[in-house]
Amino acid sequence: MNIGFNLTGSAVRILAIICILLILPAPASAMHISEGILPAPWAIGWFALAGIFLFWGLRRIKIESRLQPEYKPFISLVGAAVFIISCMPIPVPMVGTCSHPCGTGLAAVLIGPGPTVVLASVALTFQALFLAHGGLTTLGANILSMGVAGALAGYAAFQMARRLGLNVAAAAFLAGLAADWSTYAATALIMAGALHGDGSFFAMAKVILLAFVPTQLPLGILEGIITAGAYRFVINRRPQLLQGKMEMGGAA
Amino acid sequence: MCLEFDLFSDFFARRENFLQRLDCRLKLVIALAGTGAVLASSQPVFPVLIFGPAVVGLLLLRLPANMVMRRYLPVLGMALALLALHGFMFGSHPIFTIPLGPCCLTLFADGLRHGVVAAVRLLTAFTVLLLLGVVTPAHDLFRALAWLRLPRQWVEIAMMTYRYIFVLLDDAADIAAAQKIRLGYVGPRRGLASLSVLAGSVLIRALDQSRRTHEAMIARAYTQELPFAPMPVLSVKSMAATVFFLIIIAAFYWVCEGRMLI
Repeated sequence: MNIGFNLTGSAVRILAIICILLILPAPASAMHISEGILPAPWAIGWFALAGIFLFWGLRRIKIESRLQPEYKPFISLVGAAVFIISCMPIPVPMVGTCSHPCGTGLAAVLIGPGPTVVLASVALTFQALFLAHGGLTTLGANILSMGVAGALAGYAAFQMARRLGLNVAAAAFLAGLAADWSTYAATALIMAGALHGDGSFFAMAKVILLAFVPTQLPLGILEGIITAGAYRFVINRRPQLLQGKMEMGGAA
Repeated sequence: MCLEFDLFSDFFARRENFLQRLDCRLKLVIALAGTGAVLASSQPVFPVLIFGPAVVGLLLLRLPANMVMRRYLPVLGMALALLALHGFMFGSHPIFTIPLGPCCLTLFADGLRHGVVAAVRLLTAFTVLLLLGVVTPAHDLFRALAWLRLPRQWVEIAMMTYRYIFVLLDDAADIAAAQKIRLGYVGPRRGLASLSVLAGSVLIRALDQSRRTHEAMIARAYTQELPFAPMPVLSVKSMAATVFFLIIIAAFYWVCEGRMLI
């Protein structure tokens, strides 16, 4: 099959707008790759890759649990809190609709990237089974985009910001922003890999990224603000609570 | 403020019906086999044959139309996006061209065919997953996942997280209601500030609750591992039903795709 690439730059943009309009009724679940989108070989491949990171996260939890007996209840509760936070509707100004934060940036700052991968896999399983967001066969891909890319980017941004001397609120803002944007970038690349067929991977990735831009650029900034606000609220109200938990593998 | 997970699908899993009575392990195996076969299909016929009975199953369960619509809307949008992406971007046999000022969009027959397969696969796999969610209680699914040899730590964390989502949700709903009556969500700036406070408050409650939970667990002889009740022996009836469903799936696949599933 030849690639029908008689599309000009503006046509690609128009197509991206069409896609946005089609996806608009449900921007809230746009971050999760839906059940059935990935062909079987891709789904298996992403599962295998995500499995490596899950193994790493579970190993971190095992080590921490030996040192701190209350670690498992602690991260379970953080998981529940982040799940609730990730379901809070955020109004996205440019398209007049609501979306929701990833929450992985906040989790990575609190408990570190390894356990965050595990919590993201738990949250994604709940969303697939009980909320019909994402899917079981796309779980591996979703763990990679939200759990791995989001957590690592958020954690790295927070650490770098702190080393550059920024205060915790600014560092948490960057963590939320980086986690959100990297999640969507990874989602776009994974989807492009599975959907480009015989056509160009880069063209498909460009279209999907363009489709994400109007909602996800402002959403990333809003997620950064909420991450910073929540983190600062906890630091101001109950610093000792966070300080004790940070010794268990968090970022601060 | 309306939290999105106000209606977990497994809320409906308590209703008495044939699918609900089927062993959770077998339901999981059938759903995974069905979804795997749908993903491996290269024509739209097989996914449609699975989609039909799955939709009938959903209709027989008499789920609230509002919930079903909310679940389907994003997936329908995604299916249409797949059709548009494949139809307009890839292919060599043009059907028609839409002139758009200096450029044009051409719809290709072969691209559209690829799009239809992708969209039908998406809708079918989603429907199977939705059906699984509404006929299987959460704790049964966790036990089935443990039976499938998922890491025990992962299942433990998932079970505890699931339990405390609803505890924290009550707190979050109370705080959100209090914020709302104090005009906390009037205007985007105040709304964002209120959301941040809400998120921070939920975190504080979670951290407090984790300490209390651990103490309560120690009082109940918790030794770093949650005990799991043994799974019941699979009944002959359940096994027979599962084999029947798997044979149906394999036969449909063979007829539609002209090759064996494995």
